[in-house]
Amino acid sequence: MARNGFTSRRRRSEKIDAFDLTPPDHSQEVHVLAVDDSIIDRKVIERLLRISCCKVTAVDSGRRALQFLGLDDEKSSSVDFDTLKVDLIITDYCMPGMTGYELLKKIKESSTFKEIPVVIMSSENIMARIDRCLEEGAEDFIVKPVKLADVQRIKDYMARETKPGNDQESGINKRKLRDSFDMSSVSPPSISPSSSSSSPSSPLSSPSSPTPSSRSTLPSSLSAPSSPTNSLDSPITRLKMTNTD
Amino acid sequence: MTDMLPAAGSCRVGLMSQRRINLPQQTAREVTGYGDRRSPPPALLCRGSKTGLPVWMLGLGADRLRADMNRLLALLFHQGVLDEQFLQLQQLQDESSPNFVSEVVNIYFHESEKLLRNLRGLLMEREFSDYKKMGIHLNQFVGSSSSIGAKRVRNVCVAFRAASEQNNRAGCFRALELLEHEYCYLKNKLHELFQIEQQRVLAAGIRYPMQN
Repeated sequence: MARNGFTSRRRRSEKIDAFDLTPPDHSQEVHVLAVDDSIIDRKVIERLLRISCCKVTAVDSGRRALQFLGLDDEKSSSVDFDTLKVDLIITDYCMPGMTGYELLKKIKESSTFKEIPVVIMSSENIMARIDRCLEEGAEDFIVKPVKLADVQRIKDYMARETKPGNDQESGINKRKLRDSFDMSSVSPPSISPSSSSSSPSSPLSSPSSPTPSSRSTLPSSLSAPSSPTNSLDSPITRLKMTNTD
Repeated sequence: MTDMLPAAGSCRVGLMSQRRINLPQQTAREVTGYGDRRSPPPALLCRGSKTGLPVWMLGLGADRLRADMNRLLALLFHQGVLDEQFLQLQQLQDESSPNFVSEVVNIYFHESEKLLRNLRGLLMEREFSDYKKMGIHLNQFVGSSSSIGAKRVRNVCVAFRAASEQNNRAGCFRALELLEHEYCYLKNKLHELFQIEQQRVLAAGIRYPMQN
């Protein structure tokens, strides 16, 4: 069943065999690392995720999150990410100490974890903030309070990205799409996922686009025909719609 | 709805919590759509009414209590005290997590009272100037209120925060008074809600002992 696609291992390294050898019950469930300094928000997000059939580890700071991942500066021991298997990181933006943005950067700088999708939550609906996070590689941006629909959307979106076969490229190509818009400024938005790249070498990790990602220029350059993955499901479109409505 | 809307600064929340909501004897059908999976099958209701026993003895108290709860919820929505995020929390409550809402709300009360003490403490300082710190507390308060659907409290916090950003001490004092008032009202109403819910669960349990 496509559920096996949730194993983060598959997305992270192409060298590992695509066949999952871990026991089925671990790979069935998505494991989410939730980061929020507010105990109330932690409780709510934990419940939202559990009710959506995710395993949750909730921590109260960016530092704890890095510790959990083994990315903490103090202990840079090798991480056994086989057992950790974090499939998604969802973090609050405004936190004392390390902000969600700083955490996002640290994760994207790590060779081991940069493929893990990171979702930012914030109570402030500030476009500049959203853009900044997306440029840095955030998968999505949720305006608080978080609802079940938000969690379900993220799950679906992860399912789409990690489906085996052709669609597996879509997540990586979505980013490639963004980059290619910046660099080549060519149009045809009907770029099909398979033609955009042959090998899923993560283009996102290279901080190659100092220019704003196409997501932020969505209204101008992608006005008419939306690209296949950046359709109505795009959080930005949704945000913009709710913003102006 | 004949319930009085509390005027800012003038209501005594103690009185509010004493007031009982009286309902007509028939089973109230004016539910607001709040889902309840423990509603009894109608067949049992009919059977009961044929025995001639007084209706209240047949455990129809559970229905009445549910109606009370829905009525109170509707009032709180109408007053803007709660918003749809509260409904979202209710949707997260089920058999596997039967006390979810009250757990979250109790944490919220605990945290909020800490924040209120901090805010008052700051403003009472003779040489108070740490608006930044006040802003941090207020951000937390805004966030947590928004997460549980406490709309009015949240809005007062936002106004409070604006006064703080302008270093307006008098404005902050007024906002704090209003915040404490709104918070008290919210707390009393939610306690009332949870009490009714508890009674309803008990009543439903007595009525259908086998279903426990």
